[in-house]
Amino acid sequence: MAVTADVVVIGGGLSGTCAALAAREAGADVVLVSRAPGATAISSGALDFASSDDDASIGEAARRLARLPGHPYGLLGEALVPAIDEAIALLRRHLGSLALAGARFAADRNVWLASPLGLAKPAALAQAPIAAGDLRNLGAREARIGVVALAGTQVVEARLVALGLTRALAPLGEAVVVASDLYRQRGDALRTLPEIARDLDQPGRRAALAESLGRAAAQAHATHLLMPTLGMEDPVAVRAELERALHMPVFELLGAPPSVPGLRLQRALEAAAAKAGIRTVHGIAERGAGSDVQIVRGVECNPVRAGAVVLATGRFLGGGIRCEPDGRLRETVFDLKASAAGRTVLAALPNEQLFAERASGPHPGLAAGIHPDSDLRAGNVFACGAVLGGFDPAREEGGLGACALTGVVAGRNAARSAGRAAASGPALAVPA
Amino acid sequence: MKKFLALALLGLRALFLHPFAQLFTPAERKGKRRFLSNYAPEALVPMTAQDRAELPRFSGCINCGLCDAVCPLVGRSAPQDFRGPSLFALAYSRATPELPHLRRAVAIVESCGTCHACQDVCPRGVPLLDIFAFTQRKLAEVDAARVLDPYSVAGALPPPMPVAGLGT
Amino acid sequence: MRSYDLLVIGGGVNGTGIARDAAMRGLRTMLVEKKDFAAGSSGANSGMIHGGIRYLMDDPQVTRLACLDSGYIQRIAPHLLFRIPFLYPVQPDRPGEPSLKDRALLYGADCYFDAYDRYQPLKNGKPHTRLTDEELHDLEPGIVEGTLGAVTMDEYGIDPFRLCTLNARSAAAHGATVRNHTEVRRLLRDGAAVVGAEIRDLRSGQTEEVHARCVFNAGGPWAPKIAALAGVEVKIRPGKGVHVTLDRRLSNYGIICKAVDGRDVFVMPHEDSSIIGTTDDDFYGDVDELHVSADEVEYLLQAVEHTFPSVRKARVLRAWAGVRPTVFKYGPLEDALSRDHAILDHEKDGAPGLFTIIGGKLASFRAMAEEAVDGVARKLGNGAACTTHREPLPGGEAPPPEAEQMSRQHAVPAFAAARIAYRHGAEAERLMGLMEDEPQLRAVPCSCEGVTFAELAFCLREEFADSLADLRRRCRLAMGICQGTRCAGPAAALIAGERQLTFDAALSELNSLLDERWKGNRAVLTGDGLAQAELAQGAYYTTGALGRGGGTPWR
Repeated sequence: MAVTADVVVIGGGLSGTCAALAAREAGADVVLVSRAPGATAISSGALDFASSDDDASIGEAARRLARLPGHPYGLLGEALVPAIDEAIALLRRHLGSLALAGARFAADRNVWLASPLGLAKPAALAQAPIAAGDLRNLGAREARIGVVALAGTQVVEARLVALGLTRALAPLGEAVVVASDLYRQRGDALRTLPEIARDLDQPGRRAALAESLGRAAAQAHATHLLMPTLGMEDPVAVRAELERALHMPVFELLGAPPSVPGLRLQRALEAAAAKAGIRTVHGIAERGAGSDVQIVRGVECNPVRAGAVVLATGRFLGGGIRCEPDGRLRETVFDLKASAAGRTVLAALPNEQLFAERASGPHPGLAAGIHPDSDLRAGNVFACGAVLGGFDPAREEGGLGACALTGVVAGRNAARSAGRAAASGPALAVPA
Repeated sequence: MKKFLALALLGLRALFLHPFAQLFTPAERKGKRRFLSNYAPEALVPMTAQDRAELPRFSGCINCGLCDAVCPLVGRSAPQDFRGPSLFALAYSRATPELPHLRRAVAIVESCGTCHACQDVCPRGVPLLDIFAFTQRKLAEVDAARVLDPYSVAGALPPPMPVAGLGT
Repeated sequence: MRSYDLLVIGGGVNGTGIARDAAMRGLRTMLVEKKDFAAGSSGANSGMIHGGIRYLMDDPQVTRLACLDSGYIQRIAPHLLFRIPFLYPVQPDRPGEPSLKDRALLYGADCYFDAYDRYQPLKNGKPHTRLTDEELHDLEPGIVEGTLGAVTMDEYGIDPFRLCTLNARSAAAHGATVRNHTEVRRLLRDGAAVVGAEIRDLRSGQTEEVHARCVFNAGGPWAPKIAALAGVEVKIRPGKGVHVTLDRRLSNYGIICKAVDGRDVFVMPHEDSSIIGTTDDDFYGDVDELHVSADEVEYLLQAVEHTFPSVRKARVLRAWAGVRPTVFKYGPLEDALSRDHAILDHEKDGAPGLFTIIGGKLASFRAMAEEAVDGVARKLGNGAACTTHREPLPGGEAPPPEAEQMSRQHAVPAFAAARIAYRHGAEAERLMGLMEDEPQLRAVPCSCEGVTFAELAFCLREEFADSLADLRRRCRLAMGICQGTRCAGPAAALIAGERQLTFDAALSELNSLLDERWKGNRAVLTGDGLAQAELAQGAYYTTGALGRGGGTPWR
């Protein structure tokens, strides 16, 4: 059974959903094809477009990144900064359930958030309970941040976070470990954060948590509480309840894998797509016989008739880019040319030009991807997100923000292209 | 001189002793049957053709933890008994000799209602349900092979002490 | 300034073995190691305790002693040994068309292994078998078609890091002073005699002088450098060997494959992974800076593929290299060099009191140590008998409790209990006790290798571990499938607490572990490895902001 739409987006992560939402807003009928979550669901809960060591505005930092050879921001020219504004606005508009907070415009500065290692991560937007922990505000006055340890590995990890935050907030602020006795059974020491988050969602647990934290925070003389998690479903409500009960600000830590904020983001994206009238089809998008796209699910195979296609399949994690055993880089749906630092083959490793000797990089090989034109078009499809080469989120060259930004631009362009195609004749087939 | 003597002895063995001994060795003490009776009771079971075909697909796990986060069985059993599907990919399916020590952990997936949530959420498409089946299958093979007492040994040394680990 | 009978330089399997033997015989012993136990050759080999089958033709006595010693190692550390049955297929050049030479080879191997059977009972080994092609494929369907058949026998694998650590602990338990992270800066001389060393603790920076009546150089590839401190020339022919680790046991059986140049390359189970190895090339570079080339990796994979093609579909985790301190001889090919050991008394070189041990194999360490200490003890007038073959290493005294029982009793996941039982044997009970005393230590940061916080704490408190790298060696932290993606951060936090580290020191530990893991991963990055790298980089640098190192740019 054929799937017909103006715009078909392949990939249901942040960039794909932004593309779908942007196309929808432009009036297109949109289908989103999704195989499984990718990097978005494992992300920290923060969205970064660009950052700099001198704390420049987001737009200024993005302009600097645009000058890096091969960086996708460079494709947008003067349209880069307005696109950041557009992306921030779209995210705030559609992901209301996440209560994103932070920047409103490219002219704003990044917020600085406590990372699970006790370091400070810059981001444009974050889920409100996380954004509330902006270190710029915390360090400005006397504060004693209680880094809460509930159970599991946080009991030990909280200490590292406290060490790091003390350094970051000195001399006015400091951080200490606040150990909650909510999880007292021997086996509770094994619980992971998502498990605890699901437990906190249960009725009655919040009150028990508040009580336990009240005792512990008082003992530690904490003035603020940094929680490893505020539950999966409604962290805003949990935060409000805790702040009411404890009479002090409460915020949430960024999520290391397995990330609760990442899962929340993925679910919020799925809900936003549904609410906007985007049809989501589960399956694997493939290039079919001839030149069409088809969606495969089990033994079912549905051809796609689309005015325009947006490729948002991610990089190695998401499965959009693959390196074969012989070293060849491949874009996995349409076989578009994929490269890293100008090379299509990663073989003959170890190679300093592709992967630095130290883990801290830089690793151009990890920024592999396809390189579209200034309309974000490659071959006959549009592309966005981490399937694009030239930016490494781990080197602060744009992360989820870059995915959202390129998604919005690609989606908008795809809708326009599909509109033109609809006006000019039959559905556009994707050539071989 | 020593080497010549050793070569001569080997030659003697090759021409006379060996064929003679082979003639009088019963079938179950030769070949594959001997091999299996040597090693299978210690949980060193072979890979079957089905295993060989499936095994390459089991290797994609990157320990992201998403499957553990969505599995409904986590939290329903005691924490020390079940930590989530990822362990099957990361730990249980890697070395069959450890399986007899993980009996209860492996058995928990019998309560798995095959809701597919783990497989659906996996970014790498790891076939977790197939890995569950593989692990259960290998444990059953190990149990079937372990009919002999693995600690009975003849020889110059006292019997080796039972080893909790990887295959003695 | 302290005074010893024996100062041992080098904490590999020979150094720790000699220190243990000497301490057990009542000699006042000190062991110094500049990095950590098994940080050199002893930690970069195939991890096998084998019975010297290749000496059967030349010197059956050697084989007999090697098998006997394997049996001794089994007795003193039974929890560390795991059996590896080996398949040795004979592949004709044209599959299915065996030549007379192939048949002779198989028959000859059958007889040869039959001769080896005599010694197998010494190490609780099983008799060999001969398999037809069909039987071979029943046991291992992945082997190429058209073989003539195979012969089989078995050896043992061992965790070499644990072995060296336990030797060192045993030495300490018998009164030796054991110092890792301590280097020798110069040797002390009294005239020509070597009478001790100036050592420096690399953690604190403090130096001190140590006097010893004898000094034993067990530096392995660094032995020439140490001997040179006394103006003595020790010649070795360093042989670089590369291995590759796969993510799981491809098979419970080792497979002996022929490389493109006819050398034997093994793919064998090692704990819960597989190891492919090894190469053997003369090495002229800096022993502290070993790198693996793509050619070496491809050589190994091609060798195994020739017999076992599905290795190309397996996930390769990392590649690593070590250097063999082989006794020098000009002329032979690397493979043909003698694996015999040599114990040198440098009295004849004008440095009385200094000894060196080079060559040898991991499997023969105990016997080598016995011979070494015999020589030294004679000189020092100590007549005690060697008992290293009888007394168990720590954890080897009794079988550990059953993993599921420990799991039930102590609320620990069974897979973690099983790995603790393998690594610590009878001492597993002590780790369980630690978890009862400090309940939060139950948490499992490393799912891949079943490492609990308790084990990390135990190694830091009891096993001379002082860094994340030391912990990796002792309990396989970050050695599993995810190569540290999940566990490096929590482990850094744990060591920060145990050692009261500053934030910068904790980050430095984390960076060191990530760099070391990356070095091995980088050589084999394709497929799954790239997805893993993307996740790890995301976790530490994107989410963790580790690249920032703790500045406060917003001020």
